[in-house]
Amino acid sequence: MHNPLRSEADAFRFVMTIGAGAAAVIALSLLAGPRFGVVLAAALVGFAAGVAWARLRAPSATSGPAPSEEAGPEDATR
Amino acid sequence: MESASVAAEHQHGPPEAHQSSRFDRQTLGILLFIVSEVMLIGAFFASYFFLRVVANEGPWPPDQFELPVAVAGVNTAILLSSSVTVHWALESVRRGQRRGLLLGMGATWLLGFTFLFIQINEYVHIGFSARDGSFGTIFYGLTGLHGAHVFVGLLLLSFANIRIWRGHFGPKAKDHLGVEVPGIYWHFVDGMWVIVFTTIYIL
Repeated sequence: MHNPLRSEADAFRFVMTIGAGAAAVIALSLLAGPRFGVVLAAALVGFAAGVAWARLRAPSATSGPAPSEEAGPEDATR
Repeated sequence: MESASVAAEHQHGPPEAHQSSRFDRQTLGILLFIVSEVMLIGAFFASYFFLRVVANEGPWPPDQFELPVAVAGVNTAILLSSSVTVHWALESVRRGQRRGLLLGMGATWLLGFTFLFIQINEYVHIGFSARDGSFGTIFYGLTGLHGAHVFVGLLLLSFANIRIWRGHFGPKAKDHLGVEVPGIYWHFVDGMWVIVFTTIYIL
Protein backbone atom coordinates (compact mmCIF):
# COMPACT_ATOMS: atom_id res chain seq x y z
CA MET A 1 0.00 0.00 0.00
CA HIS A 2 1.21 3.46 -0.85
CA ASN A 3 1.83 5.55 2.26
CA PRO A 4 -0.29 8.73 1.95
CA LEU A 5 2.30 10.72 3.91
CA ARG A 6 5.39 9.46 2.12
CA SER A 7 6.25 12.89 0.80
CA GLU A 8 5.00 16.45 1.12
CA ALA A 9 3.16 16.18 -2.21
CA ASP A 10 1.38 13.01 -1.04
CA ALA A 11 0.51 14.66 2.28
CA PHE A 12 -0.88 17.67 0.41
CA ARG A 13 -3.15 15.46 -1.70
CA PHE A 14 -4.25 13.66 1.48
CA VAL A 15 -5.17 16.94 3.19
CA MET A 16 -7.04 18.21 0.13
CA THR A 17 -9.00 14.94 0.01
CA ILE A 18 -9.91 15.32 3.69
CA GLY A 19 -10.85 18.95 3.01
CA ALA A 20 -13.12 17.97 0.12
CA GLY A 21 -14.87 15.33 2.21
CA ALA A 22 -15.25 17.75 5.12
CA ALA A 23 -16.65 20.42 2.79
CA ALA A 24 -19.35 18.00 1.65
CA VAL A 25 -20.19 17.07 5.26
CA ILE A 26 -20.29 20.74 6.31
CA ALA A 27 -22.49 21.72 3.37
CA LEU A 28 -24.95 18.90 4.03
CA SER A 29 -25.01 19.66 7.76
CA LEU A 30 -25.77 23.33 7.18
CA LEU A 31 -28.40 22.63 4.52
CA ALA A 32 -30.19 19.57 5.89
CA GLY A 33 -29.08 19.29 9.53
CA PRO A 34 -26.24 17.73 11.52
CA ARG A 35 -27.84 14.26 11.54
CA PHE A 36 -27.48 14.03 7.77
CA GLY A 37 -23.91 15.30 8.09
CA VAL A 38 -23.10 12.56 10.58
CA VAL A 39 -24.51 9.93 8.20
CA LEU A 40 -22.45 11.29 5.29
CA ALA A 41 -19.33 11.52 7.47
CA ALA A 42 -19.79 7.90 8.59
CA ALA A 43 -20.31 6.83 4.97
CA LEU A 44 -17.18 8.66 3.82
CA VAL A 45 -15.09 7.20 6.66
CA GLY A 46 -16.41 3.74 5.80
CA PHE A 47 -15.65 4.25 2.11
CA ALA A 48 -12.12 5.46 2.91
CA ALA A 49 -11.57 2.48 5.20
CA GLY A 50 -12.79 0.16 2.43
CA VAL A 51 -10.47 1.70 -0.15
CA ALA A 52 -7.55 1.49 2.28
CA TRP A 53 -8.37 -2.16 3.01
CA ALA A 54 -8.59 -3.00 -0.70
CA ARG A 55 -5.27 -1.29 -1.39
CA LEU A 56 -3.68 -3.08 1.55
CA ARG A 57 -4.67 -6.45 0.07
CA ALA A 58 -3.66 -5.57 -3.48
CA PRO A 59 -0.10 -6.47 -4.48
CA SER A 60 2.00 -3.37 -4.26
CA ALA A 61 4.26 -2.27 -7.10
CA THR A 62 6.88 -1.30 -4.54
CA SER A 63 6.52 -4.34 -2.27
CA GLY A 64 9.77 -5.94 -3.38
CA PRO A 65 13.03 -4.82 -4.86
CA ALA A 66 12.83 -4.53 -8.64
CA PRO A 67 15.46 -6.52 -10.53
CA SER A 68 18.24 -4.23 -11.56
CA GLU A 69 18.61 -3.52 -15.25
CA GLU A 70 22.35 -3.50 -14.80
CA ALA A 71 22.37 -6.85 -13.06
CA GLY A 72 23.15 -9.95 -15.04
CA PRO A 73 21.32 -13.31 -14.82
CA GLU A 74 23.31 -14.32 -11.73
CA ASP A 75 22.30 -11.14 -9.88
CA ALA A 76 18.65 -11.58 -10.79
CA THR A 77 18.50 -14.96 -9.04
CA ARG A 78 19.92 -13.71 -5.74
CA MET B 1 34.95 11.87 -3.93
CA GLU B 2 32.42 12.26 -6.71
CA SER B 3 32.54 8.57 -7.55
CA ALA B 4 31.88 7.77 -3.88
CA SER B 5 28.71 9.88 -3.83
CA VAL B 6 27.55 8.34 -7.12
CA ALA B 7 28.17 4.89 -5.67
CA ALA B 8 26.16 5.81 -2.58
CA GLU B 9 23.20 6.95 -4.69
CA HIS B 10 23.20 3.73 -6.73
CA GLN B 11 23.98 1.37 -3.91
CA HIS B 12 23.02 -2.27 -4.41
CA GLY B 13 22.44 -4.84 -1.72
CA PRO B 14 21.11 -4.37 1.80
CA PRO B 15 20.70 -0.83 3.18
CA GLU B 16 22.98 0.74 5.70
CA ALA B 17 22.45 -0.58 9.25
CA HIS B 18 19.71 1.17 11.29
CA GLN B 19 18.38 2.91 8.19
CA SER B 20 15.23 2.27 6.16
CA SER B 21 15.75 1.43 2.49
CA ARG B 22 12.52 3.29 1.61
CA PHE B 23 12.68 6.49 3.69
CA ASP B 24 15.47 8.77 4.64
CA ARG B 25 15.78 9.00 8.41
CA GLN B 26 14.32 12.53 8.69
CA THR B 27 11.11 11.58 6.86
CA LEU B 28 10.83 8.33 8.81
CA GLY B 29 11.24 10.30 12.04
CA ILE B 30 8.43 12.73 11.25
CA LEU B 31 6.16 9.87 10.09
CA LEU B 32 6.68 7.98 13.35
CA PHE B 33 6.06 11.20 15.27
CA ILE B 34 2.82 11.77 13.33
CA VAL B 35 1.71 8.20 14.04
CA SER B 36 2.22 8.81 17.78
CA GLU B 37 0.31 12.10 17.50
CA VAL B 38 -2.59 10.38 15.73
CA MET B 39 -2.86 8.00 18.69
CA LEU B 40 -2.86 10.93 21.13
CA ILE B 41 -5.55 12.77 19.18
CA GLY B 42 -7.48 9.52 18.85
CA ALA B 43 -7.60 9.31 22.65
CA PHE B 44 -9.00 12.85 22.82
CA PHE B 45 -11.61 12.04 20.19
CA ALA B 46 -12.56 8.87 22.06
CA SER B 47 -13.16 11.06 25.13
CA TYR B 48 -15.19 13.49 23.04
CA PHE B 49 -17.47 10.84 21.60
CA PHE B 50 -17.83 9.12 24.97
CA LEU B 51 -18.95 12.41 26.55
CA ARG B 52 -21.25 13.21 23.65
CA VAL B 53 -22.85 9.83 22.97
CA VAL B 54 -22.61 7.81 26.19
CA ALA B 55 -22.44 10.29 29.07
CA ASN B 56 -24.66 13.02 27.64
CA GLU B 57 -28.39 13.46 28.05
CA GLY B 58 -29.97 16.29 26.11
CA PRO B 59 -28.67 18.54 23.36
CA TRP B 60 -25.01 18.73 22.34
CA PRO B 61 -23.47 21.17 22.88
CA PRO B 62 -25.55 22.05 25.95
CA ASP B 63 -27.77 25.09 25.51
CA GLN B 64 -25.57 27.56 27.40
CA PHE B 65 -22.67 27.03 24.97
CA GLU B 66 -22.65 28.95 21.71
CA LEU B 67 -19.74 28.37 19.34
CA PRO B 68 -18.51 31.03 16.88
CA VAL B 69 -18.91 28.81 13.82
CA ALA B 70 -18.40 31.57 11.24
CA VAL B 71 -15.12 32.77 12.80
CA ALA B 72 -13.86 29.20 13.10
CA GLY B 73 -14.89 28.58 9.48
CA VAL B 74 -12.83 31.52 8.28
CA ASN B 75 -9.96 30.26 10.43
CA THR B 76 -10.29 26.84 8.78
CA ALA B 77 -10.03 28.46 5.34
CA ILE B 78 -6.92 30.34 6.50
CA LEU B 79 -5.27 27.13 7.69
CA LEU B 80 -6.19 25.17 4.57
CA SER B 81 -4.78 27.93 2.37
CA SER B 82 -1.52 27.61 4.32
CA SER B 83 -1.34 24.01 3.06
CA VAL B 84 -1.53 25.37 -0.48
CA THR B 85 1.27 27.88 0.17
CA VAL B 86 3.60 25.30 1.72
CA HIS B 87 2.98 23.02 -1.26
CA TRP B 88 3.71 25.92 -3.60
CA ALA B 89 6.95 26.56 -1.71
CA LEU B 90 8.00 22.92 -2.08
CA GLU B 91 7.13 22.87 -5.79
CA SER B 92 9.19 26.04 -6.19
CA VAL B 93 12.27 24.61 -4.51
CA ARG B 94 11.98 21.45 -6.63
CA ARG B 95 12.07 23.67 -9.73
CA GLY B 96 14.91 25.74 -8.31
CA GLN B 97 12.76 28.87 -7.93
CA ARG B 98 14.07 30.51 -4.80
CA ARG B 99 11.58 33.40 -4.88
CA GLY B 100 8.58 31.04 -4.77
CA LEU B 101 10.18 29.16 -1.88
CA LEU B 102 10.73 32.39 0.05
CA LEU B 103 7.22 33.73 -0.56
CA GLY B 104 5.49 30.38 -0.03
CA MET B 105 7.14 29.59 3.29
CA GLY B 106 6.78 33.19 4.49
CA ALA B 107 3.08 33.18 3.61
CA THR B 108 2.64 29.81 5.34
CA TRP B 109 4.18 31.16 8.55
CA LEU B 110 1.97 34.28 8.43
CA LEU B 111 -1.20 32.26 7.79
CA GLY B 112 -0.34 29.88 10.63
CA PHE B 113 0.33 32.79 12.97
CA THR B 114 -2.97 34.41 11.94
CA PHE B 115 -4.80 31.17 12.68
CA LEU B 116 -3.26 30.95 16.14
CA PHE B 117 -3.97 34.63 16.86
CA ILE B 118 -7.63 34.24 15.88
CA GLN B 119 -7.96 31.09 17.97
CA ILE B 120 -6.53 32.80 21.06
CA ASN B 121 -8.87 35.73 20.41
CA GLU B 122 -11.74 33.23 20.17
CA TYR B 123 -10.79 31.78 23.57
CA VAL B 124 -10.84 35.29 25.08
CA HIS B 125 -14.32 36.08 23.77
CA ILE B 126 -16.03 32.69 23.74
CA GLY B 127 -17.68 33.11 27.15
CA PHE B 128 -16.89 29.79 28.79
CA SER B 129 -13.81 28.10 30.19
CA ALA B 130 -12.43 24.59 30.45
CA ARG B 131 -13.98 24.36 33.94
CA ASP B 132 -17.52 24.77 32.63
CA GLY B 133 -18.68 21.21 32.41
CA SER B 134 -17.56 18.32 30.27
CA PHE B 135 -18.22 20.18 27.03
CA GLY B 136 -15.98 23.08 28.05
CA THR B 137 -13.24 20.67 29.07
CA ILE B 138 -13.27 18.63 25.88
CA PHE B 139 -13.65 21.73 23.70
CA TYR B 140 -10.55 23.34 25.17
CA GLY B 141 -8.80 19.97 25.27
CA LEU B 142 -9.21 19.23 21.57
CA THR B 143 -8.80 22.75 20.21
CA GLY B 144 -5.96 23.47 22.65
CA LEU B 145 -4.17 20.27 21.66
CA HIS B 146 -4.43 21.34 18.05
CA GLY B 147 -3.29 24.87 18.92
CA ALA B 148 -0.20 23.41 20.57
CA HIS B 149 0.53 21.53 17.35
CA VAL B 150 0.17 24.73 15.35
CA PHE B 151 2.63 26.39 17.72
CA VAL B 152 5.15 23.58 17.21
CA GLY B 153 4.56 23.79 13.45
CA LEU B 154 5.24 27.52 13.53
CA LEU B 155 8.53 26.85 15.33
CA LEU B 156 9.53 24.35 12.63
CA LEU B 157 8.48 26.81 9.91
CA SER B 158 10.50 29.56 11.62
CA PHE B 159 13.66 27.45 11.47
CA ALA B 160 12.92 26.56 7.83
CA ASN B 161 12.37 30.24 6.97
CA ILE B 162 15.65 31.27 8.62
CA ARG B 163 17.48 28.59 6.68
CA ILE B 164 15.80 29.69 3.44
CA TRP B 165 17.03 33.25 4.03
CA ARG B 166 20.51 31.83 4.52
CA GLY B 167 20.26 29.98 1.20
CA HIS B 168 20.46 26.46 2.61
CA PHE B 169 18.12 24.62 0.26
CA GLY B 170 18.44 23.31 -3.29
CA PRO B 171 16.32 21.52 -5.93
CA LYS B 172 17.60 17.98 -5.22
CA ALA B 173 15.39 15.94 -2.87
CA LYS B 174 18.13 15.50 -0.28
CA ASP B 175 18.89 19.22 -0.36
CA HIS B 176 15.47 20.44 0.79
CA LEU B 177 14.51 17.93 3.47
CA GLY B 178 14.56 20.84 5.90
CA VAL B 179 11.47 22.20 4.12
CA GLU B 180 9.89 18.87 3.17
CA VAL B 181 9.74 17.53 6.73
CA PRO B 182 8.07 20.64 8.27
CA GLY B 183 5.76 20.61 5.21
CA ILE B 184 4.58 17.06 5.97
CA TYR B 185 4.02 18.02 9.61
CA TRP B 186 2.12 21.16 8.59
CA HIS B 187 -0.22 19.19 6.32
CA PHE B 188 -0.88 16.82 9.22
CA VAL B 189 -1.75 19.78 11.46
CA ASP B 190 -4.11 21.15 8.79
CA GLY B 191 -5.85 17.81 8.23
CA MET B 192 -6.24 17.40 11.98
CA TRP B 193 -7.92 20.81 12.26
CA VAL B 194 -10.39 20.05 9.44
CA ILE B 195 -11.53 16.98 11.38
CA VAL B 196 -11.62 18.86 14.72
CA PHE B 197 -13.58 21.75 13.22
CA THR B 198 -16.11 19.53 11.45
CA THR B 199 -16.66 17.39 14.53
CA ILE B 200 -16.88 20.09 17.20
CA TYR B 201 -18.33 23.09 15.41
CA ILE B 202 -20.54 21.54 12.72
CA LEU B 203 -21.76 18.05 13.64
